[in-house]
Amino acid sequence: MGVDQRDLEASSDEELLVLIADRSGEALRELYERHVGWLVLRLMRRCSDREVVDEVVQDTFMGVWRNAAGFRGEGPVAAWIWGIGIRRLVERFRRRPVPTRGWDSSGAQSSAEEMVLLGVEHGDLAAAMDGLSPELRAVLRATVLDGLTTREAAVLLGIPQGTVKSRMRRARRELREALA
Amino acid sequence: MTWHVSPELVASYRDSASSDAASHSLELHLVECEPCRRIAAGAVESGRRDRIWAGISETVDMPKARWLEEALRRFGVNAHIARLIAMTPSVQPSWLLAVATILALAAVAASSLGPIPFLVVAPLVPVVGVAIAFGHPIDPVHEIGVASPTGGFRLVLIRASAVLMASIAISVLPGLFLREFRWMVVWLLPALVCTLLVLVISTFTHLSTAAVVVSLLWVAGVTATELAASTPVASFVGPAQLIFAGAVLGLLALLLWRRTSFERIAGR
Repeated sequence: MGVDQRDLEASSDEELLVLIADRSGEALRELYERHVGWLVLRLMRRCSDREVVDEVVQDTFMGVWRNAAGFRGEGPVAAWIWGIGIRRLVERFRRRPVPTRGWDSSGAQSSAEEMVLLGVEHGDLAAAMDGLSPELRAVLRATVLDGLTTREAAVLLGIPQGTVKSRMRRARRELREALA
Repeated sequence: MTWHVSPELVASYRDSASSDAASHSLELHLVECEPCRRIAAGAVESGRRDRIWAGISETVDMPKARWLEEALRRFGVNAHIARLIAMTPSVQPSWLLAVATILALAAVAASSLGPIPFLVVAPLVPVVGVAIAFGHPIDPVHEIGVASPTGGFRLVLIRASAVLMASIAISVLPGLFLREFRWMVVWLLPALVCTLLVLVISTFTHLSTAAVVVSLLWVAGVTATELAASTPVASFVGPAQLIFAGAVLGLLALLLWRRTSFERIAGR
């Protein structure tokens, strides 16, 4: 809609969203080019099926196109896009289960952000995380890092909700014991 | 932030070779850091990026949704609201065409059966329309409703009014087959009553259930009245219109009273 390509490139993500809300396909394209890379990689770490991931990425940006006006400026645009993307992935799993991925368990240490999120002091957390089984860590990742609800995490990991809850409890207990 | 990702880390992350800790850190960092996102973009081949985009751009150039939206905006409707209306399934041309066809059949039948079939069906058009407007599983407004600064109640009112107006507008043409002008207008208040009743009931239960309940009530009510009354079309003339007018006021009051429950309903 008559927006100069150079202007688009100079625009912030937030400004692009305003243009997208105003139905600018060019702005959506620019936002897509900026964010498609990490989104594909991050989704691929949760689902190994390329076609499914590509579909989910498409759904995500269609969601961005429709809901750009709903972005309230809380936090980075990338986090908002991820919120849409991971939920589209969960919805996709709900329709038809596909192979998912856990983290590989080698040499695990925890990032600073996660320590804050888990509300535990620095210190022996890395070692404590190391002691967790891959199943427990997958549950922590889905709920803490991806910010999913118990129900969504259950769909993503292909396990019952009750199992997610009990694994969360077990992970917390094990972390507490290891840190005590 | 002083820590940044290297192309090597992105590559090992892509190949699922990075450790949990490195993967977590990278994911959280990419959300915040534009230059590092550019490194990540390079890890996905451009052919794949273009293929994904091709699927998106098809949807993005939706001519149908666009002409209505543009028209509404030209008439001074706020852009956000114009989009809400244009994306309502039950104001799309395909739906309206189907409705017009059914009503035209009912209107043509009026020459032999009287106006009752038309008068019974016409008020149900916005009822079904409202149910479709909020009940579609992939309806984008599902999400807007949840995250909308407009709020659930206003959203519902805007969409329901759009559906009501579209339904009435589309009924004009088939109504011409009725020959008598009054049959073209006596169903307007009943339509309003039915639509309001659906909205009120939907604050207690699922919207589609509400639509079914109202439709059954409406058909049963008209049938009973016609069977009991001494003059034909008694459900639509004389005192009946006064009752409908009273019902509109009562239901409007009820709806206002129940408005807070729409904050959740918009997402259903």
